Amino acid sequence: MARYAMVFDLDGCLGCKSCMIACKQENNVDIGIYWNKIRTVGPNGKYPDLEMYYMPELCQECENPPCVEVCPTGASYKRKDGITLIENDKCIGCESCIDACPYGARSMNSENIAVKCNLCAQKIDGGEKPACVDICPAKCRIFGDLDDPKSEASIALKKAGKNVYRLPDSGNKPSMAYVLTTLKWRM
Amino acid sequence: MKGEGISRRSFLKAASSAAILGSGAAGAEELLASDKLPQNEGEKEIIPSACRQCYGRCAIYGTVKNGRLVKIEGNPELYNEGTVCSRAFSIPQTMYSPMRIRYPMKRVGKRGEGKWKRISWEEAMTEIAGNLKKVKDKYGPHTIIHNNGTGRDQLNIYALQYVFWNYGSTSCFGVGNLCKIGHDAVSREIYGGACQWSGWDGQKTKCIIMWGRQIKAFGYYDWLTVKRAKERGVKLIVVDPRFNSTSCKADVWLPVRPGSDMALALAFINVMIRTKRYDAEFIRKWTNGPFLVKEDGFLLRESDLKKGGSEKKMAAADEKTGRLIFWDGETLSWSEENAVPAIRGKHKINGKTYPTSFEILAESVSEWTVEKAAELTWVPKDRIETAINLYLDNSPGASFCRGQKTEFTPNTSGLSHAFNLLMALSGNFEAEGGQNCIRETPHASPVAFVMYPPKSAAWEYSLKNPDKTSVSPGTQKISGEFGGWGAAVTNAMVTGKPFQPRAYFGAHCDPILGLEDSKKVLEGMLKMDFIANVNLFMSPACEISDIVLPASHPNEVDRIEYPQTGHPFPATQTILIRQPFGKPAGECRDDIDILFDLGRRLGVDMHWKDTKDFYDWSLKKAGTDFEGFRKKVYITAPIHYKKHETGRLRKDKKPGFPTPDGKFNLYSEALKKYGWGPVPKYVEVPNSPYSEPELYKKYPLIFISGARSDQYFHSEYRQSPYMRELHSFPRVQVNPETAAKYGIKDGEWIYIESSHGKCTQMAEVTAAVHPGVIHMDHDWWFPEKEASDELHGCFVCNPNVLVSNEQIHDPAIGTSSFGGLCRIYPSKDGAPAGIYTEPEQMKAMLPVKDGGK
Repeated sequence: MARYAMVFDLDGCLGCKSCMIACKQENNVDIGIYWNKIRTVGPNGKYPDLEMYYMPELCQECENPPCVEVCPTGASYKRKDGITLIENDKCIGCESCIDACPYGARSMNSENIAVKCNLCAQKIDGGEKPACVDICPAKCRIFGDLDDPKSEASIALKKAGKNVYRLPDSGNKPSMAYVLTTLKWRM
Repeated sequence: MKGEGISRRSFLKAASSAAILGSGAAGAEELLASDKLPQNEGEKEIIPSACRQCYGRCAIYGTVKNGRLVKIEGNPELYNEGTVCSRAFSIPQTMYSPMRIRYPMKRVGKRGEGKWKRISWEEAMTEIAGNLKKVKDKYGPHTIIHNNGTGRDQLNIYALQYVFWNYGSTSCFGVGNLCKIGHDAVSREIYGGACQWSGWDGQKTKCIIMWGRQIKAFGYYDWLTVKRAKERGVKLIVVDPRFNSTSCKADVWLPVRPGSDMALALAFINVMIRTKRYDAEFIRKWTNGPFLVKEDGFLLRESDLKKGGSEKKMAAADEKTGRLIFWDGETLSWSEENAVPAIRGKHKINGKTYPTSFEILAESVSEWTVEKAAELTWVPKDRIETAINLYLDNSPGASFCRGQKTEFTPNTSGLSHAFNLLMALSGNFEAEGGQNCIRETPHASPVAFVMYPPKSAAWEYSLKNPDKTSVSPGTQKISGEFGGWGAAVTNAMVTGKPFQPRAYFGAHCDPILGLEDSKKVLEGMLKMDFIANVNLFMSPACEISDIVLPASHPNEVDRIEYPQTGHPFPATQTILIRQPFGKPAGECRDDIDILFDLGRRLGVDMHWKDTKDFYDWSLKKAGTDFEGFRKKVYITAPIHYKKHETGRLRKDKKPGFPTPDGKFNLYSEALKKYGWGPVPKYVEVPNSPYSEPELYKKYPLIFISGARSDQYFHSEYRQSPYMRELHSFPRVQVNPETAAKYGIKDGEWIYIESSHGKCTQMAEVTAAVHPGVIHMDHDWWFPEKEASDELHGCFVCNPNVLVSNEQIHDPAIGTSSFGGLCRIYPSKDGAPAGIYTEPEQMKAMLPVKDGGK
């Protein structure tokens, strides 16, 4: 079974936010909403002794997604390949999932439907990568199947060794991984 | 895209203001409606083209469906490797913006009142040509000011210059003085090229300096080269006052005090000479370093030593014999076959002692110890030492790459000279891993358009009579614009000295936003008898025009994109097609077609039939024509090293540099005559803690502006909802210590005030800047505000209102400082009235579903 996710090379990320807009083009995301964000971590320290990196923030494609658990209508569901999706017609706009997501990755769109990063499932189903991946000017978003040791994402994880970080996990098991080798992980 | 979901009715409701409808003229709604597309017109088509949202000109694909551009993607075949930045996605929003100017217009109200009448192209062009002729006949053609925006493909700049120079108009506001032209022109004087902009060999480099340049300033793909270099152990040195996306990736960051870069460059050169880490053979063989210098500071010539001697034979001393030898600037050879010219020391010739020019440089920079540089630049001494050692120990084979902001000083010429010395004397010119001195593109660059004959009598006259035709006679002698530019034009407009400019023709530019002392620029422009502008949108300068012409979007026309602004190979040697994703909106026309039309109406011999005629000619070198190139999409020329040794740099194919005597001018007689001196010297910027200590007591912070934004290119793209929602407000970076001192909170609006003016921006409290320095976003205006509301709010957030243009300018090229001293305090007023602050409001700028095209 596949487990699609992304590995983010934070040493490479320039914080240019191109991915934020590529996502909007691909997925017709409303003005004022982002499925994918870049947060600047820092600068930490005192000028001129500073550290800074950039942090992609989006749906973590949890193995046990709390958003799916709390959804009263089954609108939120997890596919076999690990991607959590929302069926628009079933969403009643109750916002339970918004509160349940530990990462604030979901928002309500202008039609009162819960939305979030869908890992560009429509592209993945056609054998392509998510829209933010190929256009990334730092090539720091590595997409792949974490269950396949030969995928680019698995190889990147293996290469990173102990420099791999994940967002806080309360049993939901986030799949997305962050690689940071030279700086201190601040979460 | 989602925005297309907004219905036409709700759009028109949201866009009921004249500002949104762009023109303010009757008929805008009708034209939008008449633009409605037939459905199912054609199949989906994927068109390879180029992005022109910045100078990076990334290769892109546009997906066109039913005649409408629906998607932008990167092209993986070229140097950007399929990547694009956020701005590329604003192309459709710009092309189909409801704010586009869609037809020619004539002003019917007062200047800036926002009242316009739709007119025909014929009427508009007749009016423009007639008014320019009137001014030419009454006051002389030199009283016409022409102006261009930052051109990217550059043909629009050169076509404009061709028309106006041939017509006898000599002065331009810019954009060169806000860009790279100062450094470019000085580099051409020094060695005949502009390696600071012609590229570096990132694949093979051993060390990289990025000086005042964000990796993602333009062409983010540079980072892929730098990142891969770092992965193989190459060290990255970054010189920048701000801790930005580039500084944070640096191995060594030199946080330089704004405007003091020269001290750092001189320390590099001094350490290089003192520790003998210069390339002595390069200096001996390829520079004028061995030439002897007279007491008056000019070079010793044969004509100085004997009657009837040649002025082109330069004196030197043989290192072994001490004998007088001459470099013949015509034959490019030494008077003795096995001459070994001395590069150091003082040499006795006919009883008199003369130092070599390299000796003078060595003496001149000797005061610039690392300690002194550290004191003046505020950079920790150990960091300067580490950086210098890294660069020198990896030379030859170290690369240098710089940004435009180092240009914004009264000493641009000196700094350009110093950068050239730093690169060349350390052996990095034409070395693998170093600098590519002159790029070899596969085609003849658009410069040929303007340099090609015929030249009119008016052109020849203004070249020979700068005292009568230049706004800055006697200065700005080394520059790309022979009639003066920037502040000199503003001052002429305001004071009428040395003469009163009478007419203005501008294309894709806005001097009110971009130039120093914005309010004075407007004051001067309002004195014009006639103003015409070509643009996509009604910018502030358009609003005070008599005639406004609608330009096609860059992705509605055919162009050859060629490399600019110092990227690594292969971007530097690749030409790329930019072809349309669709027909021009409304009645918009290709801006170069407009110039061909205007040129003919003004009686200028255009030489070329049209754009395509020029491109066909320029592609002959590549063995193709424009239609052939369209099929190829791009062509990359191979890179060559040591071109100065193999004769590839000179037209006569002789080894050497493309300068009159074949030498790299380590010592510049031209800069002695017209600039600060023959070797680079430190000049403190005006309005600094050191140059004006009294003022500093009252205005205790240094302000800078102009760092490149990820979402905008100078004044562009404020009409794109994608860009505006992501970068909604002009932001001023303030250090936390400083913010606490002045009671400033993150996200709150503050005032920034200099002795000259004030503006407001939103505070971003961040340790990224020195406590004594603030950085402001530049070129902000608000297209959503009405024209009558201070020309779309062109002053309220604009840091250029804080800068006087009556300060010292670079005597050689006329550039000046855009920074200065200020004080800051919290604002009680909040965001300026009438600007969009909420994403919901920004939706009014979205393309309409079936209009706009």
